[in-house]
Amino acid sequence: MNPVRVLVVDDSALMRKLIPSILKRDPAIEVVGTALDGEFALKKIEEVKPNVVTLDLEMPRMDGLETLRQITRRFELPVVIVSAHSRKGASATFKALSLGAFDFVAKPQDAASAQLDSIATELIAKIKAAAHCPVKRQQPAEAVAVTKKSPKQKPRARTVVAIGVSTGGPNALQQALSKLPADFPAAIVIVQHMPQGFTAPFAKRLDECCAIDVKEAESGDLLLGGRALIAPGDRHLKIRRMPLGHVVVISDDEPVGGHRPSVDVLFRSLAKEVGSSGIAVLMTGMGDDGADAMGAVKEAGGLTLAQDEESCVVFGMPRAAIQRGHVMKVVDLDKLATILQQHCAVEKAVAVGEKTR
Amino acid sequence: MREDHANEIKQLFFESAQELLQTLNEEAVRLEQRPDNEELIRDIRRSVHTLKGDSAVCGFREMSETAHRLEDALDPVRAPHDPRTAALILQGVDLFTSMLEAYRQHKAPPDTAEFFARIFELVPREDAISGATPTKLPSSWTEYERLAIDEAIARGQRVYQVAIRIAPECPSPAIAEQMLAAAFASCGEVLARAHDTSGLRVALVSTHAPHTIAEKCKVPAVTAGVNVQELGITAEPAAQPSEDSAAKVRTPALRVAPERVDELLNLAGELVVARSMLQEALSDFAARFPRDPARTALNDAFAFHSRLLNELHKSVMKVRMVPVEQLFRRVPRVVRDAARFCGKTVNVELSAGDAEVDKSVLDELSDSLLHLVRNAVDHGIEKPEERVAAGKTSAGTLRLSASHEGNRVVIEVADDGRGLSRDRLVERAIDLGLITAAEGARMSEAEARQLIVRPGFTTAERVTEISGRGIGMDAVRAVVDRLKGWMTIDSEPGAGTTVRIHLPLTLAIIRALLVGVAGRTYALPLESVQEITRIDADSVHSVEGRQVTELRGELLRLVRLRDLLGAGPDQPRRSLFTVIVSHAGRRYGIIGDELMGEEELVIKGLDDQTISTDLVSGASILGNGTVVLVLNVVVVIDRSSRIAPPPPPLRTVGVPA
Repeated sequence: MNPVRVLVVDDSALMRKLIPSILKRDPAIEVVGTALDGEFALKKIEEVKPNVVTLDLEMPRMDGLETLRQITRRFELPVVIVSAHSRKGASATFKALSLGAFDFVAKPQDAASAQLDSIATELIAKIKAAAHCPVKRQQPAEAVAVTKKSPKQKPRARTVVAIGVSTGGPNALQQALSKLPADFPAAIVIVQHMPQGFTAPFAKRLDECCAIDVKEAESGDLLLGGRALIAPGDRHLKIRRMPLGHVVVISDDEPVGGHRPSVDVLFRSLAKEVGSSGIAVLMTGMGDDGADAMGAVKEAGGLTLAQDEESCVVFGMPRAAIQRGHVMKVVDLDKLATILQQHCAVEKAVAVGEKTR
Repeated sequence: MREDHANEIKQLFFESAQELLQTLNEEAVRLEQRPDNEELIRDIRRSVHTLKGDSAVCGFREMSETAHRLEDALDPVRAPHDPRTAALILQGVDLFTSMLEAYRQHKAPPDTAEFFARIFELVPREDAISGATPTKLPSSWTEYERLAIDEAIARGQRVYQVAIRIAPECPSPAIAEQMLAAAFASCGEVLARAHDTSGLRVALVSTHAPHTIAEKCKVPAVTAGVNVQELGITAEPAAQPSEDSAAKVRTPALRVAPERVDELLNLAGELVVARSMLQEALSDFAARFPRDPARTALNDAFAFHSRLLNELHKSVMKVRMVPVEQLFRRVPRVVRDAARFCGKTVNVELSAGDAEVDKSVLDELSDSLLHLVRNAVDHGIEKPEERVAAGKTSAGTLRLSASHEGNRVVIEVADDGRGLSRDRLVERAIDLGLITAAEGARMSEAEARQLIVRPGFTTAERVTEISGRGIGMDAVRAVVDRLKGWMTIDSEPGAGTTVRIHLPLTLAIIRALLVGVAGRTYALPLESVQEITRIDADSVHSVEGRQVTELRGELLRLVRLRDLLGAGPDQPRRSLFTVIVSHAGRRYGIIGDELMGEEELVIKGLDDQTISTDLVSGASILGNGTVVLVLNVVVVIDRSSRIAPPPPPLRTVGVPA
């Protein structure tokens, strides 16, 4: 198989040397060129014909977002964003993802630590995935700000929807969650593979464009209907049953399968603590995080769903779960919100029935 | 990552950073030559941004943090127009360069505090000074814990928050936990627990009283402090206030006990005295060593010190200033009540503008002002039918205003009523036995108007409930005197009366003329002094027992301080040192022995026991330790006119001030 041809676009000379030196470690990747700004990058693309572009968002002359627009429109090339660790960097990154960037990695923060190693692995994997995923003509997911009604006391939820998602997640989640009504009866917990520092702005962004509430989870947060809790970057999230209702517990346990937060950890706790009232959903993403634990959810009597190949940016995690036979239903992203609502309607009816009995 | 690889990256960084700094240097110099160049600022910003990212990759936090702050300070809209921007960038480049050198040699990087302070000078913005991540507030109860607390309270249970500080000498936290758990169990049920840096916090359902709980939770050698607080429903807000809303909260006005301000004022006053001492020492020094070069330096330092002291004093005074508007606030209601009682219709117009006055002045004046207002409604403004008959609108108008006049504030109470009739005033004063018929005959209009402030004077034929009972205009005047102000009354029969109260802005420090009388030093507030002159002893005439002289064609009544203060007669002098003061539209000459200078005095109040005469309104101490008595000019003139009858006016003298 031919190596993946990569063009590195970054205005920092250091990064233009560092990124190729990282990618050199994998023989399946070949850095065919570097560019220090957007205009230069567009010329370089025509010249060296890369398969994947890595892109810094803050550059002189043509800025990163404009460059991204041009690359995706003119060349239909997958772009992996290399993001700065800052509030501004995070918001530009989410904007880039909504414009069709394949995924992002955060710039390393300390060259001497093991962090660079894990970022290297992540970048290599994402470039490879990007190279092997045909660029889908996505609808740019436009974030429409939602005016929330006055916050009223959300009910403690009986049904819990646990979502595991990775590459392609930000857009997919926005698309699915924005279709849920504010009085959606179930609680939602989400593990999105994302570095620390990005999950809080991500939750805020989702909160602004969804009728339901979205927040970065904190230990002891209650599972409330009509609210989604997102696992903070670099920490695990588990569900625990308490006398007064379900809560989330955030922990710093070792990464599972190379992931923290891990979907497997979330799904296992869902199976154990919520049982048959649990719904596990695996969405777009590389690898197989969550595929095994989905079996536990199914065994406990919960519902298991997987996003279909057509609507996935990367059909990795859902495929793994389907292949292992743990998925009860494969759904299109557009239908996910409807199916969740239907299922919750049934749950609600059952609950009402139990009460009246 | 292998160590050598990390080193390789750092090497790469050193090279690229060197280049970036060179670029920055050039760009900053260009900016210095061509400020206002927004494009250039953008380039510079980008370079700084790259430096920030690159240094972060290598784990050079100090540099990354510094670059982060500099980047924030380089606002593309504002920065190009600030001439200090280029210098800031150049300073930044120097700092980065020395940081780079330190990193290269594995030394500690240089301190950044000074540079951050410079940035802060340019951009005193919240986001520029706050660090990368806002520190979270110490743990509060989680949602679940709050729910448990709320439900317990809803069930009617009492929930207490017990905050325990663990003693530093406590040997083992585990043991402490166990002992405390036992203590909590003896009090009730623990709903929630949280660890803070210094201890433990629990929410406890208990039937015991708070002090009992506190007692039970005290474990010797384990707890250093126990705080018990009952919790109400949603004792803590459901959500922490967001950063944005926290930023929007305005700093509330500071409420300070008046004593503290007075203390400050007092100290500032003492400083003024200290300055006089210093000044005297300096002039001594100058006299003794006229050629010493230190003189100039000392003088400069003294001038600087003086200026600061003045500023300090002004600032402290400002703290005490309150708007006169406050004083007027009660007026409309008082007018309404008084008008109703008298069967009159009175419109009130208030215009305090932005006049301010010392709080103590305001407090003292409040009752007097209301008295003036009642007086005006009761005596000044006529009944509707009377007004209509006089061709006026049936509703009277009472206008109160305040304004600044130099170093004073003037409060004016004006009505459009019947005005004061000279004849009626004089007649009344004679009836009341306040003056003799002869005196009355000699009185000018202005002097007659002053009659209404004489003790016991009232024009009202009957004592009404509203005014004219006991406290009269004399009481008002006494207050104004005490405040070192004065009152003038202006009136036109049939058109109305205007009472003006002139008040000093502050009571604490005055500029005064120092006058020597019989070996003692007295002070005359400079604001009442119009001129200082010498008059020929031969030009002093005695008219009806009063000493007068003619100054530039104007007859001037003279007051000899020696007579007034009970000192013996002075040795005969050819020319007399005279201070001309103005009061109630007339000018008077006050004769002392000698002029001793002008000084800023810090007035110390005197109580009645210290001094038995109201001629003196306060005392002060000079830099050389001399005690000075401050004369109350109004009383001085008033007293002298009672010693002997006033002279007949030669001509009509000025309109009331």
